[in-house]
Amino acid sequence: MDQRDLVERAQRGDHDAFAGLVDPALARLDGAARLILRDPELARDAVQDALIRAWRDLPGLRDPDRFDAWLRKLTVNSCLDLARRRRRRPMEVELSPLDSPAASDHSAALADRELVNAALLRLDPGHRAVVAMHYLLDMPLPDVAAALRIPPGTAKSRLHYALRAMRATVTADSDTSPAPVHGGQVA
Amino acid sequence: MTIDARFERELSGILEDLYLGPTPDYRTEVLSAATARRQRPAWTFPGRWFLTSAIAVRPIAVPQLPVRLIGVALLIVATLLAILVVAGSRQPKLPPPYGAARNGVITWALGGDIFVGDPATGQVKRVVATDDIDRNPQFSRDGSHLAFLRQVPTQAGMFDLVVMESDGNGAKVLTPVPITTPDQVQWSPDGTFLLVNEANGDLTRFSLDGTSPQLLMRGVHVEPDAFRPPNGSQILHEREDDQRALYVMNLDGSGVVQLFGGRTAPCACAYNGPARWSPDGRHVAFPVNINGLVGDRLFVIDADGENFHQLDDEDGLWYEGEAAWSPDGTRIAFNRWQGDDTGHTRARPIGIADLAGGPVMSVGVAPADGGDVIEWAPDGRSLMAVPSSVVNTVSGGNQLDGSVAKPVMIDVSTGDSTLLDWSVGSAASWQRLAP
Repeated sequence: MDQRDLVERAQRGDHDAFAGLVDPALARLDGAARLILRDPELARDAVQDALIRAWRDLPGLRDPDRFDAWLRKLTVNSCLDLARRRRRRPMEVELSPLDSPAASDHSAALADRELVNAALLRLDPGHRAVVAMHYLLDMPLPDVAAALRIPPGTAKSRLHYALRAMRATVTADSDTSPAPVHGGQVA
Repeated sequence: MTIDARFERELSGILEDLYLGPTPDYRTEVLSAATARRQRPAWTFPGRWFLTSAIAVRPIAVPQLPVRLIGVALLIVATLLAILVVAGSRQPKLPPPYGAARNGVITWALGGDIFVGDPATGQVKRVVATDDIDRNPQFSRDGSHLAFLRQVPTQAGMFDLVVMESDGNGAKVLTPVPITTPDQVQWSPDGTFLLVNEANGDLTRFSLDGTSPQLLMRGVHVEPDAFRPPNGSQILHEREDDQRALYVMNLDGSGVVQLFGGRTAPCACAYNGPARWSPDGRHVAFPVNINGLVGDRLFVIDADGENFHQLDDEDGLWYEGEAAWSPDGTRIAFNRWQGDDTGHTRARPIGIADLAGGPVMSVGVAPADGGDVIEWAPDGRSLMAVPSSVVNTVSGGNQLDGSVAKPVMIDVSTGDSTLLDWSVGSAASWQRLAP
């Protein structure tokens, strides 16, 4: 049964069909939410909010082929809503067993991951959302802009800013000498 | 391969290593929570059954106005108005909904309360202070009323729409049932109702006279200042069933016409939004990505789809957006970012271009990376700019994230800017008064 069939069945209230639509995407949606929110519990809440909205409004989805893009958009916007409510500092994402390096991993690769993770922590949720959508959810920039309802120029600008800030952080943190940060300050 | 290119190439893999795991263990629980709720019945989505083939592709025609008839009608109306004045009417004079007006006060939200400030004197007063979280205030176009959203404490992402007179009296709630995640709230030109566009594409009319809310359409996303001047009989919008295209329709949903998009664009170019009417309703300005090349430029099109032309001819790689028309309709202020050969972009000072052509004037200082929300003063002599980082989408959570900024006032004749010593936590709305 293809995705279109699943969508049409889910639109008619078929719980199993809805689960069949969500299951292939859930891990990546969860990952994007944890990247944006930096808190596993909030990420879970965001994913749940998105799925609730998706189930409720699914009968109104006119093009079944757009389900995946639509669900990604709901998830990211749910994350940003939650991010705006947060008062406390973001938590460090704990390394899950998945994140533990395989025996053959080079120690430098692990260090790179840690540096990138640290760099992401320094971005605000809006910039992390653009990074998550483009690099983890594989959304082209025009789709990122459309999902966030911002001009494509703004999406591109935010992505460039995020990458520049991350590169500067990675460069600074990997350099053991107390040299100034290359390229200026990291926001 | 440059270091930058390698970083970007490896980033996807690194992020997957960090964040992509097995199916979360909460899978069963969240699916059960979702499917335990009721779905909206299919019949409540009339947009699903709207035949796209019925949508006209011809541009709309600028209506031929019966000038003599209108002149006679206006004379009669003017006579009646004069009689009312002589009879001792005490109604304050109100400005027309579009065009130049006198500057009034400015309103904004901060910390869940509503404030107004006088830019002439700098004085500020709190006009709404309750235990509720109120946000996104905006004046009606005649300056007589103020509308804002009030978060429902017990329901995340749900809001009531509240309206009061501009002096703070007569507050009333227009929503018998709270609205969900509103993206746009706009006053009608005559100030008798508001349109609310929710994130799911529902467009609902809320009248000030207390009549029941009217769901007008589904599957649409209206542009900022969507009502076509001068009377708002048509709505500028985008449609979920045809993204990256600009449409016009009558307020009742009839007469849908694609103004710019895949079927009507005179070039291999894409609409990039948002679009805005000129104050006289004869033109629309919006950013366009040309032929897939990197960069977006502002274009202007007549309301009948003719005369599609680029606003300015500034050399270089530019991203232009968020066009804001001057009250007299002769100039457009906009955000802009300049790109370089490495693919990076940098925010530049707000640009002002004359509709008749000529160089772009840079005013103020370069805003933060996300650009500003730009609003012309009603008298057209200055711009008010608020960082877009403060201006979230209309929706929000049940708490505030504490983001604040100070508005910048820019003299458009000199380009000089002044930071107002006000802390605002939302978009700011300028009251229009009769000249």
